[in-house]
Amino acid sequence: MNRDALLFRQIHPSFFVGGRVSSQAFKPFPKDDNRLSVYDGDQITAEDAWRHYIYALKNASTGVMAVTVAECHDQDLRPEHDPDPFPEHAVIDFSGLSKRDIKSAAKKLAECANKRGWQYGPVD
Amino acid sequence: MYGTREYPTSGTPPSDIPARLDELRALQDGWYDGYGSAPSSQGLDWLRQHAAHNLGDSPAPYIYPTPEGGVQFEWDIGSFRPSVEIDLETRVGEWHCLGLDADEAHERELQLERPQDWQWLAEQLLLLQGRAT
Repeated sequence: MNRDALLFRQIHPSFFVGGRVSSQAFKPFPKDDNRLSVYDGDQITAEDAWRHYIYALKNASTGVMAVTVAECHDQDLRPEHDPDPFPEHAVIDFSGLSKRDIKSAAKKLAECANKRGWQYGPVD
Repeated sequence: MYGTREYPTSGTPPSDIPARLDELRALQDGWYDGYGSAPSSQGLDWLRQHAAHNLGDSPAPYIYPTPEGGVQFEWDIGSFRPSVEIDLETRVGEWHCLGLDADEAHERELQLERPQDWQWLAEQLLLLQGRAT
C-alpha cells in the first residue's frame, strides 16, 4: 500500500464525546481478532465510505477520521488490503503486540487522526 | 438520522462526571454495531458515586463506554495520554499512561473498591498536570 494513503476509520457515536474522539476508536476489540477495519482511501472517498458504512452495512458512525499507512508503520502495525467483505476494505493488523502496546498504538493513531481532523462529518 | 440518534453522544462537558455516566444508561446490549454489552445500572451507580467523590479536584476525564460493558476514562494532559479502563463488575481499573514525548507507557492495576487506589489515581492526575504546565 502507498505509504501516504489515507486509511479511513468510522467513528462510533459513543466514542465521540465533548468534541473529543476516544482512543478506543482506533483499538481492535476481541471480536476483531486484532485487526482494525478501515477503508482504503486510495479506493474510496471519506464521504462514500461513510455512506457505505451507514446505508449498506447499516452500522452507526458519526463521521470519518484517518491515519496514513506510514503512521501505522511507525507503530509497527501492518495495514493490508482485505477485500473479502467489500473491495475497499482494509485492515490494520495489531497482532503480535502486547495489550499495553495495543493501547499505546491506539492512542498514537488517535493522536495522528485528531491532528488531521475529520475527513467527513461529524454528523448529528 | 445516520444511525447515530439512539446513542448518547451529547456535548456533555467532560467536567460533569455524574451527568455523563447517567447518559451511558441509555446504552443497550449490542450498542457497538451489534456487539458490545451495556454497562450495568448498578455498576454505573457505584462508579458515579466514587468517581465524583474522588476525582472532584482532578483534571476532568472524557468518559466513554467500552464494548465489554465497562467504562473508560481518558484525559489529555499536556503530552500525556492517561486512561483508566474500568470493569464495573470486578471494580478493577487498568491504568495506562502514554507519554507522547518520551514514547513511554506505564500501567497499573487499580482496585477501585479501595479508597487508596482512588487516591493514587487522583495524585497521578495532579502530578501529570504539574509536569505538563
